[in-house]
Amino acid sequence: MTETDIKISIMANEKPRIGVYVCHCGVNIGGVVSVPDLVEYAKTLPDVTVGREYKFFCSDVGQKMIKEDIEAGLINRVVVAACSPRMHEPTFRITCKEAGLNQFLFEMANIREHSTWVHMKDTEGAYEVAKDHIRLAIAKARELAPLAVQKVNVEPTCLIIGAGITGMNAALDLTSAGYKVYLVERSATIGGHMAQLDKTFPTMDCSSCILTPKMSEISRDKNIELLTYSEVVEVTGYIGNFEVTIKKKPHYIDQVKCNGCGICVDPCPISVGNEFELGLATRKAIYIPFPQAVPSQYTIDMDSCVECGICAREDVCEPGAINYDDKPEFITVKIGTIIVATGYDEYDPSGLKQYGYGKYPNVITGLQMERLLSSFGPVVGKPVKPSDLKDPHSIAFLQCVGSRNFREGGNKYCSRVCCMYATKQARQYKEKHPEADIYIFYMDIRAFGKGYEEFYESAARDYGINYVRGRIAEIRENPLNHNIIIRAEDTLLQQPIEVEVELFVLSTGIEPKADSDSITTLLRIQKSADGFFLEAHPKLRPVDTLTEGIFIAGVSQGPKDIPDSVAQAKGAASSAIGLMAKGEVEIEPFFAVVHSDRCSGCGMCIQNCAYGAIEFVDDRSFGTIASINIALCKGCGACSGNCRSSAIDIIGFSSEQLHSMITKRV
Amino acid sequence: MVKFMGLETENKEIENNLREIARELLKEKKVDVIIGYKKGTLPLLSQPIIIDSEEDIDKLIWNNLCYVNLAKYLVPRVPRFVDPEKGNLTVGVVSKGCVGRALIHLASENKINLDEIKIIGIPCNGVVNRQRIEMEIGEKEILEVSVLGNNIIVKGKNFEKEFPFDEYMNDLCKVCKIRKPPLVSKVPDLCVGECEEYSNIVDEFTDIEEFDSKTPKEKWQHISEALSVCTRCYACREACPMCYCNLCFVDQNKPVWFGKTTDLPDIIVYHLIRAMHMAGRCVACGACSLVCPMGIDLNIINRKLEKIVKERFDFTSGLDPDALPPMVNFKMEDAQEFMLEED
Repeated sequence: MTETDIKISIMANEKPRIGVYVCHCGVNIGGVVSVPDLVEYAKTLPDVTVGREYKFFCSDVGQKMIKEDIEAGLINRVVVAACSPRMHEPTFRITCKEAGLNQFLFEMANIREHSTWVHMKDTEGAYEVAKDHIRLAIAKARELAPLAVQKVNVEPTCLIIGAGITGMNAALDLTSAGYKVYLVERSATIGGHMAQLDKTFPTMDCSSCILTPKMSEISRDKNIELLTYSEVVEVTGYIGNFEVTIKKKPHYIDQVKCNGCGICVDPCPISVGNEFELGLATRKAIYIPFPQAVPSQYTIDMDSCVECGICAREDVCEPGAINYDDKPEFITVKIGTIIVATGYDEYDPSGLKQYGYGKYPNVITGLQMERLLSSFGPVVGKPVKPSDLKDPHSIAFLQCVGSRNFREGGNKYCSRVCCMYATKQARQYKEKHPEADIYIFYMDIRAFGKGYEEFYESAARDYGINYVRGRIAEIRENPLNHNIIIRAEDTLLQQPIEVEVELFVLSTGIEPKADSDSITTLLRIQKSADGFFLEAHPKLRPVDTLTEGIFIAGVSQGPKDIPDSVAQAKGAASSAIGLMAKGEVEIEPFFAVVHSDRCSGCGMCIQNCAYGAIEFVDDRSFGTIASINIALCKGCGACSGNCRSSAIDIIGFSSEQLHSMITKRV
Repeated sequence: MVKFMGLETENKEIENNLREIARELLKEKKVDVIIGYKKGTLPLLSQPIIIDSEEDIDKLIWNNLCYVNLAKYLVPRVPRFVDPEKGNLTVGVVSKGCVGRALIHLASENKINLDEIKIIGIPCNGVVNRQRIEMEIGEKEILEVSVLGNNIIVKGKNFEKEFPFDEYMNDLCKVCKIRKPPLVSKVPDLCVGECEEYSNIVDEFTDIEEFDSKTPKEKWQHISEALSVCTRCYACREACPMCYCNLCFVDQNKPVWFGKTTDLPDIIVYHLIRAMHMAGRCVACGACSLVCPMGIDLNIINRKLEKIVKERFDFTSGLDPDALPPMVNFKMEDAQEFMLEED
């Protein structure tokens, strides 16, 4: 028996003496219900020996009050009635532990989220609800038993989903710290949306010039297992010990034999819309996404390919890399930590009929403008009007397309990049065509970043870009020359204006990936109301998720520009490194246990267990009964809920504990 | 004073066949014991019997008074059919349709090893609703019963009464779709005697149409009125082949899930939890209702459950030992609209 075991057995046999600590949480709780009354109420309940109130029990002073009571031997169970256990359960557990009390002899009553916040305007009702919560927590506290924490090893490997600028930066940080990285990218190349950009605001450095060195660094790094054209299909396990199955989609070209010469492209008879160029150009069925793509091997788009066999001819593909019968390949790897950096989709403005996108040829989106401005884009950096391929002499930008829209179907949030990219694109065009008239229609300009305000000021002052404050009322097309006639109100001059421009750019915002749900189900992480992945705390844990060992970074967490995305990438990488450097984590001992005497061995729990954690064993006195493998059990409770003779309990949520809560409630 | 029992014309033949098969099984050592029915000590009853030698074979009977679901004897809490030297014994079970179903379902729950079982299949045409007849006879003592054709003739001192069998049959038997034990393709020599292969069982559930047409309030009233006489003797549990838990939830005291009294709330909690435990497992043998000393009709609850399971999950229990009951088996395409239903 170790010292801890002895301590635990002593604690388990003591009669409960419960200390109840009701927190004011500033005015969050104290401003709605009477905390002193709650304390007095708690003191009337059985086994409660100490009741106290304080403004913030999570503060050092508050924690010290609890510690002193434990150390003085007044209490051996702690109930804190305050905020969500998601918030401060770990804090108070450590408090108990430091004072020498087993940390699982602690129970939290969430009277903030469940009472005073939701019933803010009904103080009497809130008081009743808060009383219920405190009574329930005390009922459970009486049944609590001391437990020992489990320690598990953390595999020193990290999985990064998405190889845009965020995923790439995180990967490089992790390998420089000496960890193995599996970098999984769905498309055929790494680089993400940043590869599509021409220049970056506010410094105007060339996007690909700063991106491509990183890309080749990734491909050179021996510690990065680069899995492009691949998708994560299954994630099982838990922090430190995830088991991840990755599907490598078939390229139909042997990626080892292909030397990227590109001779196969010209003879290919099939042309389809080019996703990378957003439909502004075509590509062949055999392709690489863009010239600097990493890896540089080719891929056949089998949805379009007719298998004519030209590319497979010996005089076309000398290395003989073409393989029409390529099959998907599945690999399973052991992973310690996961970083999700799946990025975003550009808002599709086709739904906003009033702006004519998709109807008039000279209405384009911001990202399309970026491709037109790009030196390796479809028009090699000389933007043209799609209608006649001539230089436009006037351009209008419309801001907040698909952002800050409180009507149905719109996104309420600010996409945070559109003001600056529109300004940047306007400046770029002005540099090439100083004579052109450029208008930017805006609600207000949000130039919040470092150097952004200066950038915007100079665009207006030095480049003569016309900023017009006001939304556009309607647009129509001049049928003679496909020009766009805009009618709007200049709200600063308070007069209607009408301008005719040759190119109309919709500064479209950022949206969560259309299929981000598949990631949330796969990884068991959450999304916030706007559809982006939910961080564990909006301010203090911005890259953590509520699932231990899984981090989020970049735009998948919320709209942000490149510097912010990179900062998050580094944050997520450092959090992942922190876990792996420690090498082990404590996991809560909340797994299932079988009461052998009750189990009749029907085996239904075995069928029920999603983790394969239950098996039959032959017990000397009870025959064939179920047994739990605690290394695999996640404590989900499916077996417990399904057991007819309640032979399975979840430690920490046992039938007795929950039953005691229910009966104290009724 | 009992002269004869059973349906003379039809059942004699079945009974003779049964004895023939049983004799052969014992003689050829294909089974070590046989569980069947023998004559009861009272006119309207039969009794289970366990036979291990050929001389007892003639005690085996088959008639419309063989109520008990014999599958129950194979899931005791302590294994009974074990020879200290030979180990597990092979058991032949005289099986009507519902006994066969119970055996097969119990195999899916790892309670029975089908390799150690022989199902002696019998074509069942229903059992007599004993309680109803007793109720109509009243206080008078029944001395003799015979089932002839469609007539149940009940005789006693100074009275003789006839009941039509098709009406005084157990309600579940009236709508029974599985009269012979189902064949199990995986274990071809499991079944001796008359068995049948079933695919796609169509059940209209006409017997609970009336109950189903009630409003939730009326249903509640009906159920609570019916259950209010329950004395919680647990005879229903003891007769049920699916009730084999080592420690039933009603007997647990850590925690005490609900009170041990015969107050209506406690009675209802007992029956409704038991009903939940039966969902997708009940084989509609009616054993629970037949043994109820208070004459409570539990069939309505069981049939309603069967209907829900059939409609939602297209599942009939006791046909396939590899099929999982729907309460255990989660499929993405499972119907879930009931979560919003008020009914």
